[in-house]
Amino acid sequence: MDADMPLLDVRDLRVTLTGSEKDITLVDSVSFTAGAGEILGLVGESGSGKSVTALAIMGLLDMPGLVVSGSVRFRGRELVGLSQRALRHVRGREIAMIFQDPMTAFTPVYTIGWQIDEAIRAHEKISRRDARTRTVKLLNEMGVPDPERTANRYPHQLSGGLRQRAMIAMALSCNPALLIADEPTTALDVTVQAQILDLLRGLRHDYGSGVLLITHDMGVVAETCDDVLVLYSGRMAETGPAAALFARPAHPYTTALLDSIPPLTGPRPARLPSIAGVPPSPAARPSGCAFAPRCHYAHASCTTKPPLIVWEEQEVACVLPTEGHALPPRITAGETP
Amino acid sequence: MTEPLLVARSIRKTYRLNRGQTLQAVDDVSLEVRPGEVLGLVGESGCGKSTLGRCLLRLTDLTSGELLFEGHDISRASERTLRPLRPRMQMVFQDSYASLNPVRRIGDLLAEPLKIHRDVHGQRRTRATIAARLEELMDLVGLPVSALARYPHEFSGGQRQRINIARALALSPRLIVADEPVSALDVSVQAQIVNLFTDLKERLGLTYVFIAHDLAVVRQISTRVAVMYLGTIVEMGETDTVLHTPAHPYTAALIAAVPEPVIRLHASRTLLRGDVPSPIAPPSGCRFHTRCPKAEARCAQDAPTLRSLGDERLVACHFPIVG
Repeated sequence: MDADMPLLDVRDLRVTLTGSEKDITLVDSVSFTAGAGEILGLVGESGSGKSVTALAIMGLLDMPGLVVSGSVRFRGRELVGLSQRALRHVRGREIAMIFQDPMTAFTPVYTIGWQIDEAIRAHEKISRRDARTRTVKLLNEMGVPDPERTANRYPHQLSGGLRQRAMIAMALSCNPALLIADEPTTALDVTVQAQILDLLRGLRHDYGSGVLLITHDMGVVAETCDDVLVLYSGRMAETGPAAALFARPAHPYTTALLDSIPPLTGPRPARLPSIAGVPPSPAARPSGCAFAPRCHYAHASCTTKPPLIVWEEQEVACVLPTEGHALPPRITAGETP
Repeated sequence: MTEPLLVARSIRKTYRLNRGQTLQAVDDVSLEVRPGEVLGLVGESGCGKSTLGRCLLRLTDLTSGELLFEGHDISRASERTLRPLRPRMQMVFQDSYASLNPVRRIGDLLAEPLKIHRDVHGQRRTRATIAARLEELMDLVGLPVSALARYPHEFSGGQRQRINIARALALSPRLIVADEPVSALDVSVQAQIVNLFTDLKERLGLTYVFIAHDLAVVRQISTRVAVMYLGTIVEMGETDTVLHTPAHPYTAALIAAVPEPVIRLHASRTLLRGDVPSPIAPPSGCRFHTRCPKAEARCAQDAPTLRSLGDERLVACHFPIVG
């Protein structure tokens, strides 16, 4: 494999819903790369297209009326347009996915261990006994206490945190090069979330896997991700290294999103800076910048769709930096420079 | 000091389960809600914060304990006796869609409490009074009057939560218990609704019990905070005191676990091990001792009771963090 080739290279990904009078673009020209051993955060509010992007990468949007175009190259191999049969070899083995709700991702009628064994045996020719040995080892590595016994338990007998650990164990069972985690901690309590995020951070060292972490929580991104891609209404708003993006967000949406989170330390604002209105539905997206109707800085040039420009360490879909009005750095309480 | 609006003394709520098991959802909780304050109730799932919220409004019967609202003992009051008090105590729920009847227009939904309850003079409200009140309510929560003619599905989550707030406000309550009112909303919309709660409190002189799992949201809105773990209050006091200098190891762990939207240079922190134990079989002694970094032998035997640490703060811990 070429050393310079990224693990995952998504170019101009577009997902369109056809069939009604007008085609609706759910994901509009999204491009990014994810490297081995890196955690890329895909962040946005509901309806921003983050989950649809993940499903498109996995080839799971195979249904009438949905058209996926653009390019998804995984280890140099094009996945868009690949047959479901060919994709089945990639999914689970090379790219694995974990979901928000581990209760619905496991079938309730088999034990956790049985299901992880099955996932291993679907991709590799090994005996039941060897599969179980690997399952127990994985559960142990994921911090599941008493893994032999836990493997024989049913999903409903485990707590939310343990179920999520079991699901990560299943996803890692075939040593995937890329793990897509769709809101993996959203359903968990905050003390358990911290443990699972710690586990995800450890994966890149222990397994060398790349992780695509989908979340709505900027806090989760800050604590976990190397790089960030902020989506708004199916389009890229801003992307770049997490450190740069949090220190100096370049898109007014990124700034507004960060500002609307109540601070846990420092002075309490009397009112939270909030973004008026709601994100547009993909069917009613404004023709220019999708964020313009809610943006403090909207002006005449925002009526045309802004191109993605390079600014400092980021790429941003906003005209402000080129017009010489880049946003100021963010001031955060409790941080020493 | 002004008289508290609501007083709870040693309230308990026990649910009977199959096979003779019991679940102590709320175990010996005492608290006061003072007029004009916002008491934040925080804790993880299963800590009993929602059950406590429902107990405080007597939406569910108490197993034992005493509950006083505006000085009236309502611990065992019948529905009939409670009815005249109901207009003054209202609730807002998390799921804005499930709380609204989908086949009825917003105007009808909001008019219902105004039709059922009589006004302060004991008179039925006239149609004109109700119509005027509905317009006033829409204005209070920042929705156009045209919303009254529409159905719940025509609104976004944030707008539906505004409608729920309007309904809670219809009868001019003094106390509102809000159970996770912003946790189902996107962060940009969440900020709008938190601000709306703050504005309404100031405009109408309301008192809230604000239940949430999100510490940052609770800090933003609350004057005092009570932290719950497995059915009991482990720490309670002024918001800034509790969240800046937590005395209970659980409060400290909860704060440390919140992911903050800032890049930290030193990302080392102590994580709690394991999940919250099942409330059906809670640990002996201090219920937190199984996960507590400071636990000693004594913690497994004696359950600590809430005691004062000065600074108007109560903590239930044998070895509180001080200084």
